[in-house]
Amino acid sequence: MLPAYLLFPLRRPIPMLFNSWIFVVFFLVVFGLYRHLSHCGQNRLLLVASYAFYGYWDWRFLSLIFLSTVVDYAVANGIDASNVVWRRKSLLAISMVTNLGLLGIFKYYGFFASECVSLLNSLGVSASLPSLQVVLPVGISFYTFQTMSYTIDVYRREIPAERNLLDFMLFVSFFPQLVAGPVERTKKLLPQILNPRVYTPAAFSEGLYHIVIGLFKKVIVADNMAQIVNTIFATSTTELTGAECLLGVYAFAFQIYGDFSGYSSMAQGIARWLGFDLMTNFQMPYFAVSPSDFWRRWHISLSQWLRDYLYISLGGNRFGKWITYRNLLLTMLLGGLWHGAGWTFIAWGSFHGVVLVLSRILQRRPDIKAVGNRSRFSGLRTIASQLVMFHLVCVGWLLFRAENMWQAGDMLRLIATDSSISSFAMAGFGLLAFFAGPLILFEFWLEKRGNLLQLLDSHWLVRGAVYSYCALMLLFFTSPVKHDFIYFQF
Amino acid sequence: MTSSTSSSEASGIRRELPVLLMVACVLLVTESAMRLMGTRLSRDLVQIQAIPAIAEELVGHSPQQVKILFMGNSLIREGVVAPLIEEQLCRTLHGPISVRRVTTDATGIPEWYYAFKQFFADAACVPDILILGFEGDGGGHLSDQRQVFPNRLGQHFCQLADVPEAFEYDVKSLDQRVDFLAASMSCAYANRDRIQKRVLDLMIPDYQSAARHMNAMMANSDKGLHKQAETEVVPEFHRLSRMIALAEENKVRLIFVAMPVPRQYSVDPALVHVASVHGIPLIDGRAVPGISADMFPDGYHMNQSAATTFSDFLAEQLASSEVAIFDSAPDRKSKIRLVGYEEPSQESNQFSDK
Repeated sequence: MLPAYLLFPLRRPIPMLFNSWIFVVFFLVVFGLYRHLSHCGQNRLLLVASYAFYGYWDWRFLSLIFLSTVVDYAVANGIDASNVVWRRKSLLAISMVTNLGLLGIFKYYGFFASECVSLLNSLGVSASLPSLQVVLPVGISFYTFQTMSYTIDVYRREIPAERNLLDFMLFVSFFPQLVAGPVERTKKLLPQILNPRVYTPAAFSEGLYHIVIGLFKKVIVADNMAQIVNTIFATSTTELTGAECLLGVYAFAFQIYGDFSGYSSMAQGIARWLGFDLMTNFQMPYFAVSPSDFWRRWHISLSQWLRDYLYISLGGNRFGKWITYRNLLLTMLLGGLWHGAGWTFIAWGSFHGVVLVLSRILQRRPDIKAVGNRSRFSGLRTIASQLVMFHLVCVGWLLFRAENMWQAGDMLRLIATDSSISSFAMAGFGLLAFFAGPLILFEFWLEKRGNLLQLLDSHWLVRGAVYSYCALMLLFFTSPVKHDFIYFQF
Repeated sequence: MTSSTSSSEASGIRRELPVLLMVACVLLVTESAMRLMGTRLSRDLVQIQAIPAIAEELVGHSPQQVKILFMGNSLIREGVVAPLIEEQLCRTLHGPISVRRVTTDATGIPEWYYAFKQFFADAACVPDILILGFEGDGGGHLSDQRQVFPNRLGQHFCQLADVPEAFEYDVKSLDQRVDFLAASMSCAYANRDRIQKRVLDLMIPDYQSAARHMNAMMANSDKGLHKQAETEVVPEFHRLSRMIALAEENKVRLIFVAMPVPRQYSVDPALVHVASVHGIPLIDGRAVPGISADMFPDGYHMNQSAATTFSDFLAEQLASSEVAIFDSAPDRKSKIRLVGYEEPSQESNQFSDK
């Protein structure tokens, strides 16, 4: 039998990035052919293109997508055809075991095995577990969650099972959202695959808008912030000042936002040009006024997934406040674990769970509610809430990005106790303002107008000015180092 | 695709046409401005644009005059005083000698090869002697590990006829090739790093020192990754071999000079081998008496006093019988030895005793 590392190598190949020339060529070829095909031909082409897109990273990992697809296809059809409860439950269990098993093996086994061994060793028990050193398949958390939601929906009789295997394969592997989401829901995406594409005159403008803004967020904001972040988090905390730690956290907040929302935006734009309407995954999250508001705006597709398939399945808020708190904590903890196998991710998820619970407790207090109702101060209160929420999120990001819990603790201590400002911190804050400042202003405007696509309703001169600014920034201010999308590793 | 779909698509594009035209106009104006005022951006661009004039100067020289061309980067610019070397060589060797320099910032063997090919590989302006100054472990600027900047090659150093060669040997990935082609067509694209530096320098206080700090940290983390992967990079010299072939084709004698920098570096044995096989003198200027570590005010380039000392040293070496710049015997391989080249011990610091 072949060792695992030969089947799934240790080497980390490069995925096809949306902001690479190879993707531009790939998309132009696909789009050129796509326009001349019938609906069925378009679906087949997209399927081939999606597998080629993923296979460019490493063709061997296509077997995992195929396995997940075939199992869920067969299981869902079996569930749909049966009225026997135990049989339906058994089939659902097969899907869960397969998908979670893939995640467990590729994503979590190494972490939990090494932690178990450490724990046993610290108790004086000599133990060793076989190590499985394989690279984490790009996007595995996204497509396994998408297929699981499909099977659960079929089980809940919310949708019928899809009979056409090829169309279902496309639903699982649709390349714009395959490796970093959004985690699309069956009810939204599958009908779009099954029915002929509907183009509106706005499709081109919307696609262009999403792609330009997405590129700006990824290439200008995220990649330039990555240099600051990597520098600060690679420096020993004994050599950092409080201002530099704060800069590192702020810069990471905009790096991860630019990176992930930029990718989602580009995915949305590319899909729009292909005639698909993907869900909006981010909605100005740093203008959130409360923890629950933040999760309605950040990684919306995952938040909704966790709410619908985990939080509600655990009982939601139907069994009293203590069970609700438990469910919130568990959901956020597992949400943290979804992002990666490591204590920092667990701490990040738990932190957000605690923040959600505390905010719920505070909301129940009548005196807090009364303050909230005084409209005279509502503007100031909103700004204060946004600032508090942003900084709470930043504490979470510190846990998320830190190399380990010690580093996170040291940096928090420095932020709280050291007020010295170095020249590097000054320059770093200047770079933060230069690259992320315009994005914040733009999103402030969108937030005020309450419309994500407000720019498309503006005069063409305004749109031209915004796009020209983005084009000039993309021409002159790309980071010297190209960075992978952070969420590829989740 | 149905006709209603096509018309929807067309009307969508029509709606955005003024926006797209506006963006195109802005980019066009930027490109024109860059072409008109590009040289104001950096001293480096002025140096690059001066290369044809240097080639013209060589054309004007008499056939009896020995034409020496230094090719390198800021190390040569700050460390080699051409008139001083010219004067000393004329005095020592009693012959007409002309010394010229081509120095463009942050360049290495990829740029030097194409620059020589484009501007000097011509019977009229070909120099008699071409001196390449380098530094760095593993052959540094002369090795294949030297980073290739496709935008610089495309804009400044390669011609259309060089594209097949560049694509075959130097600019291999699709991203690099697009960079190369875009830079060959657009001055703004080719010089985007210079604009970036200028604008950020203007707008962000202490930007330069912050950028240096970030670059150093990233370089360290890259080294760490290489160490982790246990991949020892073995230096190769294919580009240098092409340069040697080009020089031989044009009957130009090559000389390599290991330049002094404050930190210690070793000259790769493979480079010594290449030089030895082709009979190319390798002048070891890493530890020149009279140059100490405090004579590098920015930590990399020599100050004026060190440059004078180094130029004296070079003139002396070039006039020595080992290099024998007037020797044009066909069997010169046997007559040329490596000049002053001795591998220093790893422990010793070349400047510690000065």
